[in-house]
Amino acid sequence: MKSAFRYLLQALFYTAFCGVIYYFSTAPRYQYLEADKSEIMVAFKHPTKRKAVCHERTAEELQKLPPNMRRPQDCPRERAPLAMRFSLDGQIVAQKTFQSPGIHQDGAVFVYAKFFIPAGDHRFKVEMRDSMQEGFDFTLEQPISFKPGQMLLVSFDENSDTFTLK
Amino acid sequence: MEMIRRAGNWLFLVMEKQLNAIFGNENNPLYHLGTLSFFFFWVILGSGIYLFVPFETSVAHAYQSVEYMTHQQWWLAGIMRSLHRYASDAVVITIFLHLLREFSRDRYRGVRWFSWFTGIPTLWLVVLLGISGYWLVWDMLAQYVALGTAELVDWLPLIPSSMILNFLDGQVSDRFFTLMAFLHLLGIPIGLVFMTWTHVSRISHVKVMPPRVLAIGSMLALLVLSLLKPAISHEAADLSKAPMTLHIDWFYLNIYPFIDRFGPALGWAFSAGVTLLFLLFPWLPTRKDPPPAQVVLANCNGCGGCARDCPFGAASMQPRSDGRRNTLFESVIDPSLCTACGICLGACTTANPFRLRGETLTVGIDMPGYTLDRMRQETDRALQGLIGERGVLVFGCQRGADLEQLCAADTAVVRLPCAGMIHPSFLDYVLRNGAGGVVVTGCREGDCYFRLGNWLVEERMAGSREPHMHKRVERERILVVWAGSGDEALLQGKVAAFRQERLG
Repeated sequence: MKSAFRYLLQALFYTAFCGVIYYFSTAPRYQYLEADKSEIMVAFKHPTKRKAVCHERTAEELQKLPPNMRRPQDCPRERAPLAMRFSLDGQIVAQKTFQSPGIHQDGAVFVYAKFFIPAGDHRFKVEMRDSMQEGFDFTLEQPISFKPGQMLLVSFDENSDTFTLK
Repeated sequence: MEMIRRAGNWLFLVMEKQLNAIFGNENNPLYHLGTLSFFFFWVILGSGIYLFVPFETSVAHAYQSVEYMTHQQWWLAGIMRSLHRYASDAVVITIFLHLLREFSRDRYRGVRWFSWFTGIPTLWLVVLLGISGYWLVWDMLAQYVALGTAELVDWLPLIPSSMILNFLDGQVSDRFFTLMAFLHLLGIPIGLVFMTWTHVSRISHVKVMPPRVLAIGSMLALLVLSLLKPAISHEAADLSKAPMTLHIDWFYLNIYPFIDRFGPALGWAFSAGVTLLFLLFPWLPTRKDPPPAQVVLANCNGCGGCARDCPFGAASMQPRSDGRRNTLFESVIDPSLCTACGICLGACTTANPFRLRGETLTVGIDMPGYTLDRMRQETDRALQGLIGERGVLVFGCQRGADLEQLCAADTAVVRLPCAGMIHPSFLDYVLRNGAGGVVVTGCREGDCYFRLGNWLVEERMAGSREPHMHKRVERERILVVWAGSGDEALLQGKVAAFRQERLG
């Protein structure tokens, strides 16, 4: 093969190589969120209430225990699962239950969820249950105007026991 | 598995043939995928060191510093950034092709399992290095990658903290960002250097640079690409916004759309499953290699040829253990490294067919699966069957071109595990025992199954490497042809021309 032709083919090879690099380094483009959608992200840590309440040990129960373990109260460590429900204009858009982590299921629940909703004016409602009771322990409902591409962060403030929206 | 491997091998052979015609064997990119990967790594390292100078490792200023490099100082830092990006992508291509090619060539099983096994985690480190690099730009793509990574990490039950809480609006700290910068700039690269060293630790004569022509060509190509299509950022990260359209680098970030669709659990399952499967490849199924080389201490003169030429570092010289006084060393073979290629036999100064001791040809190092004595017997038989003054004896590698088609009344064939097994004195032996000429053939040049066979034969023929060929041997009666599987016509043509032009 003549030198000039070989150089030309080499140049073509390098062009193809670079073409593959360039194309896949930026394309095909990925549409994470449609242009008319917004994202709601829920992320916070929350220790739920214990599954069972503490009970006072009787003298008989205490007697059965070794002396160094005779605490007056018996408090089961296991914590309740955490349930969340999200509604938009009265329609449930997402609901999820999180188990407490740990061998004894007594750790703080890490809540993480994300979902996409249509942009625009909506009545947004978030509910949370962190005990073994019926219904929800915490609720927040308010009108929100979601801009396209907006990310609304929902978290829970431990100090005030209220939801925060950012 | 065998069918996939054969199909892959056929495909690579076809592509390599075309590229041999374009680049020549010595510069064929497919023969240098490993060294090209090293080369791209050096480019990444060099450009990365430069980029570190103007880069600000703080959340507030990282994006601006990258934008400054890209737009204000485009003529140097911008080009460096693009080179850094494109060389990182190139290395994924070369590593992936390297992996496919080694699989297709069946060079990943038996005693060669180690390089394959250590190569898989190396690939992981390369991907992690790339991903961590995308964080540092701190644009919307970085935000997407950071949140996706946090989602993956948080899924792992063994990690008690919640990584994603670090990425919520107003929560990203300089400390966390600096940690990421440390991982990308120092932590992972050190791990990668260690892993690549481990990857090549069981082979000798390791090359970490491709041929100069290929290095220059690749560098020029990346430079042109960097000038024509410079790497640019997305808009700055903003945790009150969700990323919308992303120009993803699919070489590194393909896992993130996957977990968007299928969740982190399947993301981990897929990644771990593929990794485990690839790690187990050498045993799916395992391959039984021929028995390793054996040192016959009574005949070993401690010349060191085997240790010098062994492509896998299986032979080493150690202090003499038998009290022999005229040499300090003896050869020792590590069976776990020996591929039974026979190259040590070709390098051994005692592997001389003229040397007789009793009825059996003895040698300092021998191949139990294909002894020197058997090689000489087969050579003798082939010579006896050779008719005519222009008879040619062909020593051919079993993995090269199909030698069956060469067999004729005036052409005899002796098949060897590797062309590198031929001791130069064997050629002398053949010519002195009636053959008009002798041909040495094996895998395509630069594509020896046992890595160094072509090179060692060429060096020995040229007299630049021991053992030397005797001066009396007529060099024009010897032909060396490198012809791989599928190159039978080429081999036949060369042998016919050799017979006509040099033996006429």
